[in-house]
Amino acid sequence: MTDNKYKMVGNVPSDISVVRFATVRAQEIVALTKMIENPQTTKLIFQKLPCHMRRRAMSHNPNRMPRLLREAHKSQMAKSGPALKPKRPRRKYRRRPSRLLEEYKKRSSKMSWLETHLWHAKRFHMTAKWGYRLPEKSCARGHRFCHRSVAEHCLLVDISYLCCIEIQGPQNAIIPELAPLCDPKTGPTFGASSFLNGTREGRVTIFQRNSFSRGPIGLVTFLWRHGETPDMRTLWIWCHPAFYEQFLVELNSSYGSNSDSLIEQTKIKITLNKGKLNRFRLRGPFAHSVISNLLDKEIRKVFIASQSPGFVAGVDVRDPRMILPQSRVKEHTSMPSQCETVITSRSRLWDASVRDQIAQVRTSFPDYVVNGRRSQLLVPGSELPLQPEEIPIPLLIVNASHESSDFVPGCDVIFPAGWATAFWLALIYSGGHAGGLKDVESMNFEYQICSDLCLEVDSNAGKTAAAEQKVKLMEDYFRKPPKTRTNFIKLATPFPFSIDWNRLLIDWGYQVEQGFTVLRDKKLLNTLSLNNQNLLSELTFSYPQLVAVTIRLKHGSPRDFSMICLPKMDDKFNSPINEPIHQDPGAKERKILRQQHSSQLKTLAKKRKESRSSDDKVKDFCSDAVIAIHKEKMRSLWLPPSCNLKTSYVRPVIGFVTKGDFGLSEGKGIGRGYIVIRSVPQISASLVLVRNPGTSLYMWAEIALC
Amino acid sequence: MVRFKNRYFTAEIIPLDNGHTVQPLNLKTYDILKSVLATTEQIHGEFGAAAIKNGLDVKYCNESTQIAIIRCRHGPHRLLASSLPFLSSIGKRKVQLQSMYTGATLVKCYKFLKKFHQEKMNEALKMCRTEEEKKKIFEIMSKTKYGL
Repeated sequence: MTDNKYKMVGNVPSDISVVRFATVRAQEIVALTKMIENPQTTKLIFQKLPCHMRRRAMSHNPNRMPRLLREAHKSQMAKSGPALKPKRPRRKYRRRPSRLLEEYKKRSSKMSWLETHLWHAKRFHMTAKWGYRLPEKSCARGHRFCHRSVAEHCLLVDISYLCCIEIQGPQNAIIPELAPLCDPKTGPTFGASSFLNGTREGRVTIFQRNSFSRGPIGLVTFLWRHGETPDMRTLWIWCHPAFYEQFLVELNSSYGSNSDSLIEQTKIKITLNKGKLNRFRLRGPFAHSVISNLLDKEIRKVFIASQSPGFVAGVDVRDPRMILPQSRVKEHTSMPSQCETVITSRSRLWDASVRDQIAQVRTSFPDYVVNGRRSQLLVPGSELPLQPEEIPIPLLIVNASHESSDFVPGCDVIFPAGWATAFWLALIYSGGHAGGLKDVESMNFEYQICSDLCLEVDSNAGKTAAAEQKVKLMEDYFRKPPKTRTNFIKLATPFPFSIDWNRLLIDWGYQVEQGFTVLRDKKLLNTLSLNNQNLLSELTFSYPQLVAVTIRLKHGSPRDFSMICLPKMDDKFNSPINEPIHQDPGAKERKILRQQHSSQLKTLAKKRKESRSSDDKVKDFCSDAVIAIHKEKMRSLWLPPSCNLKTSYVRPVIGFVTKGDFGLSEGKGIGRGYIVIRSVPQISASLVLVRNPGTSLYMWAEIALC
Repeated sequence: MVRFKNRYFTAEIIPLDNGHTVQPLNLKTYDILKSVLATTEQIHGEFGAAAIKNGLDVKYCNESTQIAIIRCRHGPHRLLASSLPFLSSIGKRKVQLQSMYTGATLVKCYKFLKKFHQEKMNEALKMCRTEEEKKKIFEIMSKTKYGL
């Protein structure tokens, strides 16, 4: 290799081959080209624009930039963090009537609103239940006022959340399919003759197909259409939204199809009228007089005769917006005392086309037009004469039927969708007192009516509701500091938050793999209440069943989850019996656990500090998992352990009270609950002991099967 | 809003003691920086070194092609430029700096370097004697046209 030649070229070192030289240079060239093509600029995009094209708004509005630079500008803007939230418009703008409607539509998309929601939302505390926003209790009226409304005036509840299912078809095809769903021993079912011609409303407990030993699905009410031939009949079934899905599944399996809305088989058609009908419930002595304010004068005269319990009357009324009284009526109209003619049960409400036509009128003849015409009346506040756009609206008035030994007169009004606010205002102004879910519960507690609005304790819906209530009560309990919590272990309360019926039945010797039921067989209930030992056989006691009872105390009142216990043979009536305070083995454990936990947290905190300062991110000493485990353990130590209900306490437990309070209708403490069927013969003289949760005193009470 | 103007000196580093030692020329930016500062202090004193120090950086340093780009502020750059020929050693090695180009932006220096390398490749092509070497170099050159 001659060095001279290389040295002539100059910068090529002598010991490098040409090829290597060339490759290196080639790589360099490529790298340099890349760097030249993509210069790393630190200038912002808008600085590249000439001055006359820059705009002030482009700092927040990228659409002010020329299109080619827009993307780059947007990405640069995004780099400086998330944009500010758009300013919330001012209150006056938000509340403009045109904008209010879209706001309400947005809110009601997630949770269904009743048509009377706005009226209730201004006056009631609302809750979300079963996919609806429902009024719970009044903001202004108390518990006693609402009880007085039911007892002396008229309570008005909007129950449009009940779901209606319509079945159309030949009578002989509908009834046999529905027969496996209901137990004939509990009472008249769908095919009973008293309901078939459509003049009365019936109620029936439905079960899962052919399995009456498992719990029911719930209580439903039904109506046949009046005035039809047996080959084409219509049946309306009203069921509670809590078990609506389950009921639909059962119906679909009965009629053998998978589709939801229309089932065409053997000419049977099922339609879901979920949002198409509204229903109000009026209960109280003056319910009929409140309703009669809606009716025309001629019908009012004959209304009195159609007030037999359970009767269905179909009437046509005028648009209630025309006859709205100017101020609320406090006294009630007196009704004519005697009448013979009965209003027919036929109604145009059953036609879907009529309902749609009437729903149209609501939008074609709006409120402000009506109000305008009313303001032009000569005598303010009087009725508007018949208007040309009016159509008579068909109503169905369903009287309250006998549900229990107490009868509270009242009726239900059913009318097409879209008219709820009009009818609601008319009824309120005629003297009805509005009520919410709490008032329905209290009606069920005091008088045992409205049971189709309450869930059965052995149904799936009832168990879910009980589980939710348990969670809520436990949260409330554990939110209190440990010192103020009642110690249910020491006070010997087995179930302070919810009742475990399975445990009770197991302790009384039953097997509960298939679940338990409440005894609904009317004949058996009668024989049990007669308390005749000869008539009862061992067979009746072999199934795990509960019996519904009412207990009445002379002094004091039971609470929810109170224990019903059997007195011993030699216990004298009204002698004081006390439950001794039980030992709480958990107390020591809790103390030790607390100390351990706090020291553990301290060590973890120390370790975290060390790792932070030593800059060693090997382990993460997070104490979240430790805290969660400790919380669970402590909670389980506070709850009373599961024990044998017959033997652990001074007197054996036979049942529990599900709802207990001072009963305003009777003036003494009442409890509605359930007891084990096997204990019924052991009750002597209808006397039992009741012990409230968290107390040690056994109160003497009278028991009656209800 | 004062604008900081810079000058980028592209220089070729020629090792002086080659031929005997086959050590690879270990070019570190830190070494070059230190030696530049030392030389400027030698030539222009403390003032010179201090004037240059702010903004002094070795922006590009390539071992295999022996090229370095040194940045300096516009103003004191003349002091640096005048002291570069006197730089005799980088680290432990005896070198000689030959400045090729002074640019006001780094991109201009890159453009110059690209042209420089391409000319060098053409010369290498002329210089090789065997056919296969020529073919190989053609191959490499064609690759650069399409950017490897």
